[in-house]
Amino acid sequence: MSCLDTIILSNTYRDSVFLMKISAEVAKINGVIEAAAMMATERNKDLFEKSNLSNEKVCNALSDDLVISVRAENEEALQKALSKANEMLSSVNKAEKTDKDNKIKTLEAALQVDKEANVLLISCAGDYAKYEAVKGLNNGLNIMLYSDNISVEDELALKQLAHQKQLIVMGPDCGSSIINGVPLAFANRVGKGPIGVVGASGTGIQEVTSLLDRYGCGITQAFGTGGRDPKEEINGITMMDCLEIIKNDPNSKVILIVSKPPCKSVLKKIIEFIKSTEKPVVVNFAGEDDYSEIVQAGGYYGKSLEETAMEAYRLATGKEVEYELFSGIDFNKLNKEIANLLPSQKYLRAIYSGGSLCYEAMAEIKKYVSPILSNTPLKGVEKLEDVKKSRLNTFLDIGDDEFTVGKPHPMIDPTIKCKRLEAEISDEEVAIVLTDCVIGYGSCDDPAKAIAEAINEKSTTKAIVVASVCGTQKDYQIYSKQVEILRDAGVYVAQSNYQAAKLCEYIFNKLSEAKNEG
Amino acid sequence: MKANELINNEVNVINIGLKSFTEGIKKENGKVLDTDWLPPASGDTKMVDLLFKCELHAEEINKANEKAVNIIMSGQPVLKGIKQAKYVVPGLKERLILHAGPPVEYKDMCGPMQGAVVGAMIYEGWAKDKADAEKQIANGEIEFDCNHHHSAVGPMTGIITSSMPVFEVVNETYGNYAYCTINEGIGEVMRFGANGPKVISKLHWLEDVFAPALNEAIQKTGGVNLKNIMAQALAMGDEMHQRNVAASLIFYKTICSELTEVIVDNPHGKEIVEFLVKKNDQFFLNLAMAASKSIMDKARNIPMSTVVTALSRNGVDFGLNVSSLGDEWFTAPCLKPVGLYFPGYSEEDANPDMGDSSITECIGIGGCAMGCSPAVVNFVGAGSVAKAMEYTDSMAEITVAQNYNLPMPNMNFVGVPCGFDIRKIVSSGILPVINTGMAHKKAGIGQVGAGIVNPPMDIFKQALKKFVEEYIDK
Repeated sequence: MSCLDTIILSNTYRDSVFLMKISAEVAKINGVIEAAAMMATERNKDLFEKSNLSNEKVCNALSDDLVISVRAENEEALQKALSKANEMLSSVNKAEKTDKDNKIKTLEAALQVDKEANVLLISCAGDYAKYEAVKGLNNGLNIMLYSDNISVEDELALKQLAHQKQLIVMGPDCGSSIINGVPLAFANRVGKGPIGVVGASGTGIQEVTSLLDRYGCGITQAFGTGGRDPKEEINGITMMDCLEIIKNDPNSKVILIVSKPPCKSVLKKIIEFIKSTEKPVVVNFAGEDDYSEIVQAGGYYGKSLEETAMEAYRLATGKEVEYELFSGIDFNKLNKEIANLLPSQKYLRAIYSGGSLCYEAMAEIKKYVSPILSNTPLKGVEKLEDVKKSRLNTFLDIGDDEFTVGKPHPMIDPTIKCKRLEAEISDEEVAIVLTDCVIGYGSCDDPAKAIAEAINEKSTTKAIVVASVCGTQKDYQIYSKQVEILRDAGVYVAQSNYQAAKLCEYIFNKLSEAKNEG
Repeated sequence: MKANELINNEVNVINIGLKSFTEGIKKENGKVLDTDWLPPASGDTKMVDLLFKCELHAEEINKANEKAVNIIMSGQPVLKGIKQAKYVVPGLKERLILHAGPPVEYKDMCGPMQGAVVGAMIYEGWAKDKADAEKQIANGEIEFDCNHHHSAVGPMTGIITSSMPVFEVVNETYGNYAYCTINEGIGEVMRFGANGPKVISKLHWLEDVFAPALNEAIQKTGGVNLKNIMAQALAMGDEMHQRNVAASLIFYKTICSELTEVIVDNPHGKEIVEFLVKKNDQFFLNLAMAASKSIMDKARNIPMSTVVTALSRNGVDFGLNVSSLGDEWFTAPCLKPVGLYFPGYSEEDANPDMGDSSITECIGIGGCAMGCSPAVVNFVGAGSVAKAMEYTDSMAEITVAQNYNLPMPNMNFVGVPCGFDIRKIVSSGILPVINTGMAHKKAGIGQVGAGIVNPPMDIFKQALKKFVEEYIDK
């Protein structure tokens, strides 16, 4: 009726207490009549015999052998019992950590504590960031790599490994992502909605997602890829993987891509992607004018981040955004200020904390103003050699390396940016100072106040200050409050970065009219 | 978690770097674990570059390392007998002297090792005294090599010459052999560099009286499984580098009836038993070493494996072998152990770290198992039982596996940490901990204390660099 089987592990020693534990655990299994795990000493063989657990194998076992013998009601219970015994013998006991100092100093230690982790957010020095990133990938984590100073070869290696493991590396130098509403690095509090965003630019993502939220729409996800991803060397590995995720996400009805103009090969991939999906795809390639290939493929575009957000809104809701250019700008006051500018005040100085916002404004303004110099020049713009000294019309991305080595990003600590603002505003050659005010998670508590203070401490000459606030009413700094602080300080606050750039155009036009008349 | 599943799951973040980035995650109901992260490899960016490259090939390396530790864990060292070295130790011949640690020339050896070399030449009858011995050495009439090149190990100076009796241990799983001399006991002994008449006559007694009797007893048992003894001894408070009381007794217990049979009519019977059981608590150390050597040798030469296959010191330099890098030695000057000194001695007197015995740590006993050997804690300077357990925990951070065949009862039956990984050592900055005796720096005075010692970090960095050149950059 009952059945008996025996495992013999030759030359295996376990102490008797552990073996008794095995016996007890195995005996608990339903259907097991008797079980024993013992070293096969002569005395123990007798015990096997007395417990009705002996057979030929037990009799022939040597005293160095470990014997597990089980009698069960049926074959099924017997097999279950034997496999349980095997499992207990081979299982590595995990020590319960009594962590003396609770500090988690390594990724390895963190993984011990948080076994459910699925994202690794890295913002340490680039020299170490890549190593932490690859370890993260090897442990099945998706990587948000805020750190920069990682070579393009290393970025490629990381992304190839990630792709192979069906993971993503957002970055390096990735400023912003929002996954399931959870902000990674800099991000705004944005409502849920039907638009999935992939962006190769941090503040580009922040601007479009914030505008969408302010239009009353929202997003599913916003994946940052890092600025180099759409370039030839990386060939859009992360961008294409993220686009696939959004394509297959039933909650995402419209797909929005923001990037600097991609390389030919990535552009081709994007075009193929547009053709491959029923979902409308809206793109913005900062500074790009020609979208004919996108349109031919059935895609949509916006020439500015604002236009792109509006187009996505229209595709998602079937409605146009109700908007009025330059709403909220007091033109009476502005015109007076323009008229009061001294003849020496001719130039524009754009002092940005957000790289993509700087880029967008530069791309717009360079159409009608020259020469322009910049620390991050785009085509047709001169490189500003000494970044400490602005000349003529200057665009500065204060978030770029030369300003941030060893210092926090100006969105976290606006001190450097505001000192520069102060200097530019009081420069007697400067007519317009253009800036950004990025709020949201990761940004400092009151960036508008920092800007306002920089304006109030200025000297006698007075440049016109134009700005936009990137953020939402839901952000803890509160969009409308930030706008109010800036307006109270005399800043002309446009509804978007693009409109701020357009407002500069207006001022330039006024200036040249005055000049022509004079 | 695959990226496409991420959007349907709770975002669960580990944060390395800016603390302010955790606030938003918490507020939006994501889970986040912040870290007090410290740069890896103590901030050595060159090493971090190498580690990064390794990590890109982690899958292959991990697979190779798993293979290595599976070999280590499945080894079954069995003592087959005692033979004269010249009959069994591969490549051993007349006028060849084997020593502990990485290769070293006579002129560069430390005092105790030079003393032991002279002693061995007198014992073999190659030289009549020190002057004679040194003249022959100067004339190039004596060859030197290290034990590890000959499937052998020896404690402290570790000298092996052709007439010495050695334990013959076979790794039954794989069929390879390893050898180690018989522990000479305490006091004036050759392993600490002594070479007086007493030492030489003790060696002859071992060769002529003790070894034949013990060999016969071992033969009668058909072989003694050393791993079983090691597992039992761990449960009895030995870590088998600094403490071997239990293991030595279990060994005696295992062969006692056969030995009794052998020596019943032997006029030296009492001496033999006393030497084996009564006078030497460290008798088993040499067996643990031969067992460890037989286990570790099979883990050598596995391509892509970063597992340490030997740690060994010659009293001047600390040497490292790594599986995938074959027999290449990575060396740097030895450090002095830290621990307790016997009355009358101080750090001044101690010789730098010496001996092949750190092969035991390679399989996971010795310093790795300190946590289950409370009795050695003070002796080796660990300070407290809790501290000893911390040592064992930290060894788990730099090893590949936990050897469930060697469980530590007081540590929840966790297996001993097994298979040092040079990547983990360099990355974490945690060095292997070795429990060791300390020799007097002058030849012949003997042991002056015991303690713990670390290998120099540089040998692991050198090896990592070579590994990347050899296997990844190519």
